[in-house]
Amino acid sequence: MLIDARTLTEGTTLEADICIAGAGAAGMTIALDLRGSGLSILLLESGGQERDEATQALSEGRMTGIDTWDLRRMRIRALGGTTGHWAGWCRPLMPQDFEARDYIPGSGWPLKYADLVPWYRRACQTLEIGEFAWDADDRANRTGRRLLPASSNIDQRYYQFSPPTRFGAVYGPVLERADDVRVVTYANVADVRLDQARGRAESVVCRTLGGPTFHVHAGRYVLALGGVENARVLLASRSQQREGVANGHDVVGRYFMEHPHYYGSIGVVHASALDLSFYRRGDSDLKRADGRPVQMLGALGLSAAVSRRERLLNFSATFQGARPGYPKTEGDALPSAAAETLVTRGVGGFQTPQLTVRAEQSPLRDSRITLTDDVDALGMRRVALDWRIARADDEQMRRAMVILGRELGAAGLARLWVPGDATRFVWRQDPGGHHMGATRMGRDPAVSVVDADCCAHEVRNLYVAGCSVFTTGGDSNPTLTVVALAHRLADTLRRQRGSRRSDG
Amino acid sequence: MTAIPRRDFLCQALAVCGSALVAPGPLAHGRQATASDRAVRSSAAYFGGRADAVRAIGEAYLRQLGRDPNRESILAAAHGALESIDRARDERSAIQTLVRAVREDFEHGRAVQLDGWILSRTEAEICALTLLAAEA
Repeated sequence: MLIDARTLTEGTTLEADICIAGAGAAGMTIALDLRGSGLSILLLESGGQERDEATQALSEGRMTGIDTWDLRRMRIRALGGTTGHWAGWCRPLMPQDFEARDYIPGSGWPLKYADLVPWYRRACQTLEIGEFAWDADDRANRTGRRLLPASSNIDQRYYQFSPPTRFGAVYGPVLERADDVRVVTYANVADVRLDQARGRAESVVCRTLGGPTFHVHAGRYVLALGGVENARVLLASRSQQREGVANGHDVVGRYFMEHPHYYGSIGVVHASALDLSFYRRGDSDLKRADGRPVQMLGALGLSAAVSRRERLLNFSATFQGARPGYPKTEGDALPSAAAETLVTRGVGGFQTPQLTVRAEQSPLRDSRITLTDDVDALGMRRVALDWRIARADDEQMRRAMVILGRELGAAGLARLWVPGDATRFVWRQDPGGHHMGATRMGRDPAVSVVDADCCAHEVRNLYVAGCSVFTTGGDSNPTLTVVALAHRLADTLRRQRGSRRSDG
Repeated sequence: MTAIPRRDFLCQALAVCGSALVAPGPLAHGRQATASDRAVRSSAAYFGGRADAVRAIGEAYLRQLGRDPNRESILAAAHGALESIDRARDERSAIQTLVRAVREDFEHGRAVQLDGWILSRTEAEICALTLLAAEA
């Protein structure tokens, strides 16, 4: 059933077993999974079927640190959420991404990779990609493509591409037809209210643009509003506690992470000696449920052993086609011809693919989302986003690229050029639009907001879904992991029905 | 470091002669070629006869080494590789030896970063020695 919240009577109270705020990839996945569970589901969405400017404006915020994509444009407030303009890149986090690494303070999920695999498999179906298979050797064999003959220090990886699945179009109608799911559009969560003991959520207050304010009473609540908005709502829920909800240790909004994308690096490779087809986007042997081929794209990283030994963040480098304007000579003391010579040694031509490096960043306590005194059209305080990257991260990435360059050189495959020199790193750096970590997962409530079940440490019937729960971000695009965690949370909610956590 | 006319001459010679980096026989000022000179000469084919590349890499490396880089210190650093190259029975073997040395450099972290390019230290040293040979 679909309800337009603007048509509700002022002061209405809606009741449900489970209230999910946010109908994006995470929220919709949970609602889909809970159909037929015997639980009544209320799925709240800030926007409608299509995005509109007035609703998008609710996301506006200020950047006070490294600039990231315009918040108003980056996240979509409509059914399906940001899958409405998602590019479809899918790859799971890697086993080492879940591990505590002593050189990355704050690393270490309370989950292991293996714990998440069953839900990753389901996420592959939800996102309409192929099977959960990530062995590059096997994929190369099956597609008749060749991996670069690099040493085992290089980790060969690949992405699968979702069509991409637009959740609003694909799953919206499914939820509208469900008897046990009510989808409420134009409903904005403004305040989470707690019980007297402050240990459980009692209700949420919802506002509409130009319409009524209403309440939701549910047994359990899930915030699935996006990486920034999850933190914003918790921080803005100050009607009972000055610090907001689930924020007794001042962690909500902190440890914000992105995936820094580094551009500018190039490789010089021998044109005839190297087959780069595995590293160009194209059809694979993998099939979607409808039988259509799944596209894939190969990438290079460093092995987990090398990363551990060299104390490096994770990263993946993809080849993006020839660098415009290459070869570069003007102003360069060492012209590109020199490196070409070392690769070709005077025989044959060369290619100069650009490298795009998608990197992990260290979680930093001071990289954070806070509230400003500006308010949006609903009277809710807007965010200030102070995204920061540790200086040590840059140094780690510089070393990582030198190691990659050495490995490619040792294999006789390429010479690598990275912007900067032995002491500086001058990449062109962009964000990936992935808002991670601001309600992070962990065992210790002093440095995390939710536990391994995505349940708030301090509010035991309040759950958070989406990449704001990531403890660390790895380098993989987050959607596959977001959906896997959402499937897992749905199973948790189903399983806990009737347990002490549930009123439903 | 500024290029000197003799260096230009050397590079032009390399461009013309391909693998013959330095003319056979006595070097400039009548000095007899040493094992290192022979090894550097044998390495010319590795650079595909590209004098501009040899010069660019050599100059960038010397610049990175800082003030007063001298032939002896670079020779000492490159000694092992040069000795192996000089022992090679012909040019082809010499190149294979150099390729191996370059690979081992990369494998053992003996890389240099010159204007952003990640190169083997032996490559850089041989280019630098080629330039310095012209001044000997």
